[in-house]
Amino acid sequence: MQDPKEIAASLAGLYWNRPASTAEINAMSGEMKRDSRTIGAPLANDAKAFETDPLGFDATMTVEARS
Amino acid sequence: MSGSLPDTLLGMAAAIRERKVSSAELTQSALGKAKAMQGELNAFVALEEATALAAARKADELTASGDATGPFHGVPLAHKDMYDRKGFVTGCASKIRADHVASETCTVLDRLQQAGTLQIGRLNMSEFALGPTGHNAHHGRARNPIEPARITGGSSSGSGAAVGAGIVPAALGSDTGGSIRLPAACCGVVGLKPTQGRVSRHGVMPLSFSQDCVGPLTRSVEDAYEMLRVIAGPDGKDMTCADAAPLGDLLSDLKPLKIGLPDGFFTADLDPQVAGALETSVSALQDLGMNPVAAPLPDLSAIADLANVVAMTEGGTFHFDWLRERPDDYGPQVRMRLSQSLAVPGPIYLRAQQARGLMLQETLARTFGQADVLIAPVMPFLPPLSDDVDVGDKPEMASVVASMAKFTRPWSFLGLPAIALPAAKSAEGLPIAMQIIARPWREDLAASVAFHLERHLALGAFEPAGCFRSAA
Repeated sequence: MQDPKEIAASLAGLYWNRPASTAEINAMSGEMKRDSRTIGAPLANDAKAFETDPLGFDATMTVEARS
Repeated sequence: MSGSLPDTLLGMAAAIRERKVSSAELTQSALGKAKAMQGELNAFVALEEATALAAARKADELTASGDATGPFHGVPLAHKDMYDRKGFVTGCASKIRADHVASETCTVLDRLQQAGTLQIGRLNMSEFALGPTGHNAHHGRARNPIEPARITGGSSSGSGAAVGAGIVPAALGSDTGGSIRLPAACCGVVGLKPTQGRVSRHGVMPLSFSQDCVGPLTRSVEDAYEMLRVIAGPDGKDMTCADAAPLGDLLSDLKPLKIGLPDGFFTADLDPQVAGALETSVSALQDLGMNPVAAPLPDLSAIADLANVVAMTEGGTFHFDWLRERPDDYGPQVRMRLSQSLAVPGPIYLRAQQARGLMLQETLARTFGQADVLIAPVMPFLPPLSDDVDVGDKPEMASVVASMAKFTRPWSFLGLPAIALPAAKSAEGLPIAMQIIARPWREDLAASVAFHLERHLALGAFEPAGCFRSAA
């Protein structure tokens, strides 16, 4: 597997057209490691992601505002 | 006016209305304290003496002619450096926006002006409202008015410092993950984060558009709630501001309400003095007739990562061009944190939003199915020493942010209103704060509970440290 720090450096070069600082590379690679472990973990069941609208939060808040 | 001047928003407004004191007297007093304390406190990034005094004289003319109408007529305030006023700089306590002159006044300041307030200056803050400790690489940190070696909390650092030191009775802050409640907790004042969408953000510096909230820091719960009532409500200039039912009066009786006690996430690893303050607060609420109940919460184990992904991705979107073109103009920690946005794939951001909706639905059904309001500490520990959390862009930054905002971020992520108030004084004389949380749009319930708790505990104001008292 490619080192997340190398991925971070590539992303900075691609999107910012500049090298990332050491602190930026550490922050970006740390973010990738944390998110892949927690947010990338499976949801409650294998269809949950397919069945859940990402705008559900806003819709629920709107319903609550009217209730 | 003979004797000491009032120190609350409502107290000052009443004194002006009753002609016991003039707006000019109060404004001169506020400016005098601000200037005297600035060297040590560093609460302001700019003072506006001439315009403030002119506004105060105008307010006094209106009072004299019987034309004063606003509920806070003539009261001098100061606000976080992120609220646009036509013709004035909004610097976001940054280098990048240091010379930005606004072309329009934001809705919240417009409403406060309509209510009669005036502004004596712009308050220090974490650069671009990014940082729970209140450190700022460009302006230096505001110091805690109770013990200067400790942090004010952030990002509304100057708001906490100026209200806590008694320079102004109230200040606007902003809260994305705790930025009103943490400075309120550290500086011994009240901070009210409203429901997501309750207050217009037109003309307000953005950080994380789906979590940013505008709200007050004050010296009493009643002040915070009345200030919220003035700034809240739909705004044709901000379509994300909801047309929710207006905020009603505070309740006179808490007996019908059930107070929810969240489970382990909010009670594990507490400093013993914080645990004691929580116990005392719950006991006080029982004395007031509230019935405590267990309040089961969704699994919050990933909340720090979820909230961070949403905040940094959205923040990184606003800052994308400057991160590419002007990276060296950011302070090291802000640059480092915003860079995280580039490492978040689209599906991970949207997955966090999916989780957010599911967690909100679960919270409404399970947690608020049992309880009307919740109580939890604002922080698991006492206000930290600055040296212990001044980590700059070191890798420890992520853990400092996560620990500082551990108890505030969940409510931001869920869009819920929460009010922070001092609940105890530690053995060292430091404030220990609790927050009262309600379901969306029920700031009235949270503030009512906080109002009665504040009265019952009767802590009184926290005295500023000796160096500030002598300066003022």
